[in-house]
Amino acid sequence: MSLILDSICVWHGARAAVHGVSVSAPPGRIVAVIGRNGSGKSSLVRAIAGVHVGRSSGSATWQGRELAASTAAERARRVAYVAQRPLVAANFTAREVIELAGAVVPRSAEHIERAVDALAVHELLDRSFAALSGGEQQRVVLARALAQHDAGGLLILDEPLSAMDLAEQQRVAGALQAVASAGSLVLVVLHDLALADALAHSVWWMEAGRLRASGLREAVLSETALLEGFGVPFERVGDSLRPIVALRGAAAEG
Amino acid sequence: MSDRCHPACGARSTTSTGSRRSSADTANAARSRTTAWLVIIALAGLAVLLRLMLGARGWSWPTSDIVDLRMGALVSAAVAGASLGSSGVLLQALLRNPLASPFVLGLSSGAGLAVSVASLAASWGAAWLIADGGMVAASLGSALALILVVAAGRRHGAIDPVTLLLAGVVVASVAGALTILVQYLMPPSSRGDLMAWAMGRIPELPERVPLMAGAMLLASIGWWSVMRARWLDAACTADDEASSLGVDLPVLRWKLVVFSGALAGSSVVLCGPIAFVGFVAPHIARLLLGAGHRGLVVASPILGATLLIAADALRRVVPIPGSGTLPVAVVTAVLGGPVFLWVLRRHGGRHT
Repeated sequence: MSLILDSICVWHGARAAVHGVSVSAPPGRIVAVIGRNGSGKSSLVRAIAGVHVGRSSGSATWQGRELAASTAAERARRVAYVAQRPLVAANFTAREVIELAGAVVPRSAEHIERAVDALAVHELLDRSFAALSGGEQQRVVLARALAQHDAGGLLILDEPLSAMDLAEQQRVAGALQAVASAGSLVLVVLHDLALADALAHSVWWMEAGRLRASGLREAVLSETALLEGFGVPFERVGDSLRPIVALRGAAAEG
Repeated sequence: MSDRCHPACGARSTTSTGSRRSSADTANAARSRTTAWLVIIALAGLAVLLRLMLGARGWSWPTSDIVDLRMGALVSAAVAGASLGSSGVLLQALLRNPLASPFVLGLSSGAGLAVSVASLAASWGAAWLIADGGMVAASLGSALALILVVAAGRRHGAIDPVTLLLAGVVVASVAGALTILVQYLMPPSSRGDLMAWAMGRIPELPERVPLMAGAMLLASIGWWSVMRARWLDAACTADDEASSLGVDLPVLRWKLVVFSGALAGSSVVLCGPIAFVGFVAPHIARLLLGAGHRGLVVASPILGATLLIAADALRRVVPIPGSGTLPVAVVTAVLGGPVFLWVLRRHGGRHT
C-alpha cells in the first residue's frame, strides 16, 4: 500500500526535466526530495500530484491505484498538494483560503478545524490572505492542504517552509510528523538540507533529472556524498547536520 | 523515529481566546452580509419602481395599462443587464483579472462590424438585412468574433487566459477599424441608424424570440454558475493548486468562455453594446459581499439588471435638445461610475 514510481519521465516542451525515476515509499513516512536548482525535484512531485501540464510518462501508483487514471476530483480525495508559489487571485480571508479544501471535494467542518489547530492559524483566519507575511501565507496554504487531506493519504509539499521563521518551521515540522505518524505519506521538496535531515525519515536525491540516491536519511545524507553533490562541506554534530559556510573565506580567495 | 526531530513535535495547543474572537467576527460578517443582500434587493426594487413610474411625460403612479406598456422595456433591460452581470463575473473568474469585462472578448466589436456591413448593404438596396434592427447581423457578428478569439486564444488545445485576453483585444481593434471603414463608405443618411445601434437601445416592444432565448440562456447558465460557484473560488488559485483541489481546469475554462460569451452576445443582440454594466456589476457585488463566488454569481446579475433598468429610467429625466433622450449606454457609465466609486471608497479598505 505504498507509493510506487515506475520510470517517471517529465518534459517541459522538448526538454526532459525528469528521466526515468523509479522509487517507492511506504506510508507513515516523511520523504524529503532534495537536489540542486533545476535538478527536477519540483517537476517530479508535480507529476506525482497530477498537476504537470504537458508530456510525461511512466506510472505513479498510490495504494494500488494509478494516480494518472483518476479524474481531478477523485485525485483530490487521495492527494493534497501545496505549490511552490501559491497564488490567490481573489481577496479571500485566510479562512476562505483554507475552506477551498472543500470547494470540490466535500470536507467536514472538523477537517477544517483540525487543520487550523495543527498549524495554529486561529488568529489569522479573519485577516485578508494578501495582507499576511510570506510565512503566514505558507502556513495558511498548508492548513488548506491538511484540511483536504485524510489520514492515510498522500501529502505533497513543494518548498512549504521556505518563507517561515524558525519558530514557524518547528511548529509545522511537528504538524507534519503528526500527519506521518497517523499513517500518511508526506513527500516534501526542501532546499534546506539541515531541515531535510531533521524532518525526514528518508530522502530522494535528484540530480540532473535522475535519482542520484534514495534511502534512509542517515545513509543518503553522508558528509562525503553532500560535499561531492552540493560542493559544500557538511558536518554532523550529535544528531544534527549543518553546512560549514565559509562565505568570508571564499570572498577573500576570490 | 517520528519523535527524534524538532522539539515542537506534537505541540498542538489551541488558543481558546482566538477561537472565541473568530466566532464573534464570523457573526459580524454574517450580519453585514445580510445587510448587503437587503441593500441589493432594495436597489433592485427601487430601480423597477423608478422605471415603471418614469415616462416621457414625467412622474406618475403607474396604472395597469402603463405597466403593460412599460413592461416590455423593463423585461428587456432586466434580461440584458442580468446577462451582462453574469457574463462579467464568469469572465473575471476565467481571466483572474478584475479589469475584464464581457467586451474584452471582442463580441461587441464583432457585432458592431456585422451591423455596419448590414447597414451598408441595406443602403445599397438590401434593406431586409437590417429590417430586424440588426439582430441577426449582431448575433452572427458576435458569434464569429467569439469563435475567432477562442481559436486564437488557445495554447496546446487548452484555453490560456493571457493569450485569450490578447486575442480579444486584437480582434476588437481590427473589427473596430473595419467598422470605421464601412461607416466611411456609407452614405451620410444611413449613418444615424448605426450610431443609434452603437449607443445601445432598450426595445420598448422586444422581439419575442431573442428575448425568450436570452432569458432561457440566462436561467440555465445562472443555475450552472450557482452549482459551480465553489469551483470558481478554487479557480482563483494557481493552475496547479486549482487542479489539485479537484477542479478540471481545462473543461471549466472552456465552459466559462462559451457561457460568458453567449450571455454577452445575447445582451448585444437584445440591446446593442452596453459596455459598463458587465464590468461594474461584479465589482459592486464583490465590494458588498466579499470575494466568494457563491454570493457573486447571484448578486452580479441582480445588480447588472438593476443598473440597466435604472439607467433606462433616468435617461428619460434628462432632456436632450433636438434628439429626445440620452442613449442608455451613456447613462450606465455616468450612473454606474459614481456608484462604483462610492462603494469603492466606502468598503475599499475591507474588500479590495
